[in-house]
Amino acid sequence: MQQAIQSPIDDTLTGAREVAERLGARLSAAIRGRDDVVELVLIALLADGHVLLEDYPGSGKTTLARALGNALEEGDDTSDVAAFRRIQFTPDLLPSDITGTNIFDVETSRFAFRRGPVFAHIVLADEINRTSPKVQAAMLEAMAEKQVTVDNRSYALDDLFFVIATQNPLDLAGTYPLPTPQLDRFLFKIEMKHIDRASELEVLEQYPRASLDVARDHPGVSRAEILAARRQTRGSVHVAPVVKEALVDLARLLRSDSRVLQGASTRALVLMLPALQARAVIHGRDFVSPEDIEALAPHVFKHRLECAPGVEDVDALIAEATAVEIEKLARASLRRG
Amino acid sequence: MTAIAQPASLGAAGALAELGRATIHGLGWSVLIATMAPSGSVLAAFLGGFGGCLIGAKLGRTRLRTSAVVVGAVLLIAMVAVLRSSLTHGSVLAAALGPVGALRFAGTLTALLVAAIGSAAMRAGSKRRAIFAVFELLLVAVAFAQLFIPHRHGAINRPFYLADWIIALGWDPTWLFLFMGGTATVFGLVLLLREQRFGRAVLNLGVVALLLAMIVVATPMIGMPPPPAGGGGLGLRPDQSEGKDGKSDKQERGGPSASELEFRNRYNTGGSRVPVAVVLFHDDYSPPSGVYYFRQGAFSQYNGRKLVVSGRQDIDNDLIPYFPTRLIEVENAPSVNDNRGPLETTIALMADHRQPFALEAPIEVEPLENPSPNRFRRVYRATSGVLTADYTSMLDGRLGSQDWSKEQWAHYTETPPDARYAQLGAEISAGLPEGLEDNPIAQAFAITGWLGREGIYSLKNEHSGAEDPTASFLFGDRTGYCVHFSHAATYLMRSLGVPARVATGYAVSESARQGGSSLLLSGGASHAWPEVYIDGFGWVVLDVYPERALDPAEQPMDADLQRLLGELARGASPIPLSATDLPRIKELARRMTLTAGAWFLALLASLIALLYLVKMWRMLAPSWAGAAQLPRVVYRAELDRIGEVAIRREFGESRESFAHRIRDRLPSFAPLTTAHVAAVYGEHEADPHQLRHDAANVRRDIRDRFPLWQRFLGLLTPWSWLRSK
Repeated sequence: MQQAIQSPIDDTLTGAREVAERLGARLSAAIRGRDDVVELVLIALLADGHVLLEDYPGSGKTTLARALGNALEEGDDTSDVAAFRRIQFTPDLLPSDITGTNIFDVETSRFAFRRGPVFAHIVLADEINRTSPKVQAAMLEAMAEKQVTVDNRSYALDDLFFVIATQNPLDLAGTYPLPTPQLDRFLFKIEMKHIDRASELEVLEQYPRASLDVARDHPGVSRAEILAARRQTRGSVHVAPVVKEALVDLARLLRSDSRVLQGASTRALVLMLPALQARAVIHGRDFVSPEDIEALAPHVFKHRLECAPGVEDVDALIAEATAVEIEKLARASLRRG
Repeated sequence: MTAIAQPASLGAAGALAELGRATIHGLGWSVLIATMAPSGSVLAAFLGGFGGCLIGAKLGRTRLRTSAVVVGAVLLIAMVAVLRSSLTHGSVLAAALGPVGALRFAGTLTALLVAAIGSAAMRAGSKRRAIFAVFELLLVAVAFAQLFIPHRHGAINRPFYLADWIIALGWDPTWLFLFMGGTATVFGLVLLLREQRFGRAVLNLGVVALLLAMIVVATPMIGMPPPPAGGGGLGLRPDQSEGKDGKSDKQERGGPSASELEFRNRYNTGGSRVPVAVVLFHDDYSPPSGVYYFRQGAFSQYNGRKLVVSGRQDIDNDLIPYFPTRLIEVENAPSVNDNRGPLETTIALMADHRQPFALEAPIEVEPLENPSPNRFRRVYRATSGVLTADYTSMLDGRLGSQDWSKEQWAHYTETPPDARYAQLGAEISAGLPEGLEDNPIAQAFAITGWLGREGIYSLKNEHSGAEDPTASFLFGDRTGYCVHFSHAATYLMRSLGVPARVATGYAVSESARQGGSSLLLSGGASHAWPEVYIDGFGWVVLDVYPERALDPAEQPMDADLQRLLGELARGASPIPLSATDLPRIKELARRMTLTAGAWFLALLASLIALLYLVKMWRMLAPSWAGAAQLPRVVYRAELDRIGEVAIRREFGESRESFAHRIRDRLPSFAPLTTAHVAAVYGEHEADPHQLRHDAANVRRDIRDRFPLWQRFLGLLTPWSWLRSK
């Protein structure tokens, strides 16, 4: 939800905001008509979370991830880690294919660790549900712990380790669907819908140039800038106690709903707080507003709820519960604090 | 939207409950109109209620506003009324179906539509709000009450159309009613328990408790079963003794009535010892004649054979016309003067009487509370203007009333076309002493005296078969009883131009009081006697006292019983205002209504004033609010303003989303929202100048973009601020 509302922002946050804006502009140029997805990806990036895109082939998920990688590459980066890696998950993939493996160096007569593709700033995990649970587990360990373990040795990943995983909502033959506890590791599950007519036309208009090319017109960002923005966001965005209460109440309300078998975990709330802060920054605020909960709740909770059989509309279920909490907050805001 | 706890799909049980509800609706409507509509309409009402309930359930799930549903239902019912009147008054339908068919069709259609609309509105309403469930419950409750209204007064085996059916099947109807009541209770409880929301269940239970309380309160008001008829614990059963004679007509039983005081060859003395009433004298009184006359009715109209009760309004209106339910004054009562003094008596009836009676001549009658319903049928107090003057003082009086018209004179002096009466009358008056021959009052005295000397009192006689039983008596063996004597005396007096009539009631000798203040009247005391009208005295009893009697004299009533019943009647007190004095109750009710109305209006006015006050306060609060409160107060004031032009945040919408949604209509509201949200959640201090500037922008936007009438109406609405949230 793009809002035209601006408010005075804390000076410490101007940097973070500027980074977000710059990156947002670049991504929006690369991928047309998906401003909402771009915003969610930015939020996840600033909140140090990962996203799961659920979309159809050719909807621009690779473009999005690559544009993000390119933007980082172009930023003045001194890191020895690749800016972007793409892993195509297949049933015959092995954990070592993504984490890396120890290889015998003939010259030194020693085993040396050779980094796998997860050693990158941005990792696109394509069709993550097509690979075996073993590989999925390795990937998810990397996501949760920001480290990989090979032959009992752990190797830390880069601080800016950001995974964009995708899965195809149809065509489920021969897949290993991710169980709910593993889905819990993703901050957002974003369902991409087909872009509107005007945006689709725009994509065709710029035809001779690749969209990544177009994006190069906008400046990139560096790894350091993003990490700084993350720090600023965590430290300087105020979360009012009533907002935290509303968050907890919302989770409890969803858990107590008879249509929900298993509600969202406490970890979900812990992950959600920085996401709310990030969204506040992107919207030019230095405090979290109920509006942030309203906007992010569906993306945070949808893949974390296990619903009773026969419950179709999870979105409506979340929207109902969110509305109750938002209403409470809104009414309380008119009363003397 | 709020129904978080409600399951998405109700499943088979839910559908079954919905069908059950629809059936109850249908049954409710059809029972409601069952007693006043033909079976077609009853069926239509059932179908209407059933269908309407199902439609209402669907309607409740749509986004249609509840208020729109209610208003729509009212409008639709009004339209049905118009349709019905146009159908019944128009000629088209009548020409096609015939007048009866048209009426029936219109009735059936109306029943169908009204039941459907009513049920749909109620069901849709109660799907949304718990309060509408009250109306549904009310429908069922009223239908139930309607079904069992015939049940009241302890008549368990009613309504007959149900009881008769069960009896025809050979079962006990009591069990059917118990079964129905039990089923209804179980059904109601199941429906109550099915409620998902605690609040609604509590509300329903509250309504049930209220209904129970109403039953408890209303039952004594409507009345408990009456006590068993008869003398009750004293073993006095006048009904049975009369029943033996084969008189089954209950209206006729007890006390002297027109049919009993009749020319018969053998006077029915059955039950003559049965007490029918006890009279309690509030003051000592000795009648000049030595006999207490309790007048109940009068025969004054000659019908060709005998005297009967007159049907004319202006005749005999000194009688008590009906049993009083409040204090009534007898229309043509004699005035209290030197000749008549007031005397109060309490009269307790132990047998049903068709008309009240009182010691002649009654002035006013007031009902009393029955002190012993097991013994007395009715108790009332009568104030009579009893004769205190000596009979000799009447000799100077004038006959008849000055107010009488010619017709009334003619009525009271009409005689059979038999010349022998006038002849005998003249003969009797000729025997009067010097100076009194021409005094009509003296003539009347002479006639009663002559009859007493010449007549023979006997309950057995042979005159009833004659064409004129009186003539047969008077010019025959002169053997008869009071009816014969009174008729003879009246005819003779009338033949001399004296206005006279036959009065009926009870006559008891003064000695029967036996020194006490109570007097027991038995069936045998019923009597008929002649009366003449003397100006200033009113109707005066001029009874015949036959010197010779063939029957043994009546034994006086048991003194102990007389005293005991008198003491029982003494406990009677005037019936409380609530049941006696209708006009005063009406007045009281009117005043109470006025007072309640005034209070209601005052309450309403103060409520509106309060609403305006709060509205004004909220509007003006920004001018004095402190810096910390300012953003909130300013935002609230502007929120109220935009609420007045019907822009309101929806449920569950965050403040920013709201501002975003209305950005086309009110772009200036966004900065204010931001300032408010920043102050509440971001602990920012707002710049008062900027804040006031933003608020002014909002006001300008409202001014520019909304028509004057809308703003004005919004400003006038006292409760607009209640809806801004």
